[in-house]
Amino acid sequence: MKSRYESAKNVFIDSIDIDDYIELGTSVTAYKQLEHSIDKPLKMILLFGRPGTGKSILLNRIQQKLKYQKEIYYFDTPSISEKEFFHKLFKVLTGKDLPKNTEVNFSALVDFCKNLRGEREIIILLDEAQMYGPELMEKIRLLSDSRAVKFVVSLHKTENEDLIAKEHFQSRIWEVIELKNANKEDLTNYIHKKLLKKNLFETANSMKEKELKLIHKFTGGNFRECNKLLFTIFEICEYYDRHEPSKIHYDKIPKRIIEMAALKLGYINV
Amino acid sequence: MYDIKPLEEEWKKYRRKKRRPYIVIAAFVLLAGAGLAALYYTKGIDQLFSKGTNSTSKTQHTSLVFIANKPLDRIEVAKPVHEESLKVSSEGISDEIVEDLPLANNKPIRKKPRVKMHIVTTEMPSAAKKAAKKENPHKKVHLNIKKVSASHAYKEVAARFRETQDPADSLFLARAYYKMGKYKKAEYWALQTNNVDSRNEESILLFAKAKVKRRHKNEAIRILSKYIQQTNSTEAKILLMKIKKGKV
Ligand SMILES: Nc1ncnc2c1ncn2[C@@H]1O[C@H](COP(=O)(O)OP(=O)(O)OP(=O)(O)O)[C@@H](O)[C@H]1O
Ligand SMILES: [Mg+2]
Repeated sequence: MKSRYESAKNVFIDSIDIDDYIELGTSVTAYKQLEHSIDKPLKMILLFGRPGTGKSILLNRIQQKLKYQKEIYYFDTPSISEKEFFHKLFKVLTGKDLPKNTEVNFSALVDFCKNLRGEREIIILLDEAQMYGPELMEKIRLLSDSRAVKFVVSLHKTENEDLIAKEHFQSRIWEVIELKNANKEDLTNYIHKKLLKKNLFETANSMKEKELKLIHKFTGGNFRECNKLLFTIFEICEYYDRHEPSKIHYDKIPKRIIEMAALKLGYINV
Repeated sequence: MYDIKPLEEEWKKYRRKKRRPYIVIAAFVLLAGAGLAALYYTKGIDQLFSKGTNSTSKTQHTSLVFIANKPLDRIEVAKPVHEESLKVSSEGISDEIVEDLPLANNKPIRKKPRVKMHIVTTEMPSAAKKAAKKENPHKKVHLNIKKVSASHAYKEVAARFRETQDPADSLFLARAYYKMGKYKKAEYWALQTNNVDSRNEESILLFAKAKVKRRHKNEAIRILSKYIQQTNSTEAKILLMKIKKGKV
């Protein structure tokens, strides 16, 4: 028989499935900011934040929401080579595949974009942009000067990448949107709503304020860490449910199990 | 199989370590208490009463907390000044959600979402604490605490939607009611979802499906066709085909 905790566990597999997007206080604010910035005559917009704060899912969300009104494309993990990147861009701009054994001529591409000005406005969402090299970033900037293509650049924040950010973004007029870790209310809502979306009512109800507070403490409000912790919590619950049901209560997740999961993930140690 | 034993051991160690400082404090408190008691007894019963108001109220405090922590359905606690604050409120929402709700066109103004976990607990520690602090803890009042039921939780979600206008909540209700076969409610909630999030595809699909179930097949077809015109949605096309073939 399938344990109820198995489905709960699967809710917290880390993924960026757009159907699982949840409106949270902070994510709604960031979404609105981003939508607003896209409408402004800016060339580039920087989306900034620690790993696991929801940048990718936000970009996916905005793409999905605006795709009927605008030409908007999402570029997920960076292409391995510059060549491949321009290949992808070529396809987006022209709707055609690049003929075999040919390469995109960059200056021709820039001219092409200049000619599009006033006719089309193309928005490209570049995720994980910390992986693009400085040269490519410079070319991306040149393309954006055409004002026919607007880039939303998502970067995650670590010390190294702070440097890239400074070099590339501070010298120019950019709009910067920063995503932060969730506060307790948002994290509570996140967990609750994620479970409710999968109709896991009782499980959502078994996470009370005290338990949620502890989870926030362990994860610092980071969504990815929260997914990891909850996955582990429900994994342990599932084990007990199957093998030692006396150790588990359906109406409450014991603090003990939350701490065991935190131990397993190294948030705390003996 | 999941390797639980080492984890359990590790947790026990962790707990023991965490508990250590408390044990020291507890031992100290106990010792101090014993010392005080010894003092009182050597001074005789009369003196104990004239001075002892503090100590009596202390024992009451602990016993109250003890009662409140028991997971009983019915517990007794001291009566506080504001009785209402103790009640686990379940009034204000009647059985029929649909009839009670404001119509779509007098939508409430979107407020800043008030973030709350709508959970009814079986314990009332906060209430007990409040009561324990009151001056006159002798009158008693009965407190009924209900376990949360599924239908109650649906109402909580509905109430929250009215406040936050979050399409995730209304869509959840639409889905849930559709599954339960309550198509009128499903239709209502799908419509609510669409009112706050007009591009929400699932709300359209659910709305159409609920319409079919309520024998408004033509209306469902009309709505879906219009939606397909606007969006060219594949999902909607598939559903439309199914409806036309009578497979919904
Ligand atoms: N508003 C939200 N609704 C639903 N899920 C969310 C939301 N915000 C974050 N998440 C979840 O949190 C996890 C991390 O989010 P995401 O992958 O978007 O982070 P990121 O900022 O792109 O991280 P990285 O910098 O490592 O790429 C994902 O599983 C995602 O589904
Ligand atoms: Mg990402």
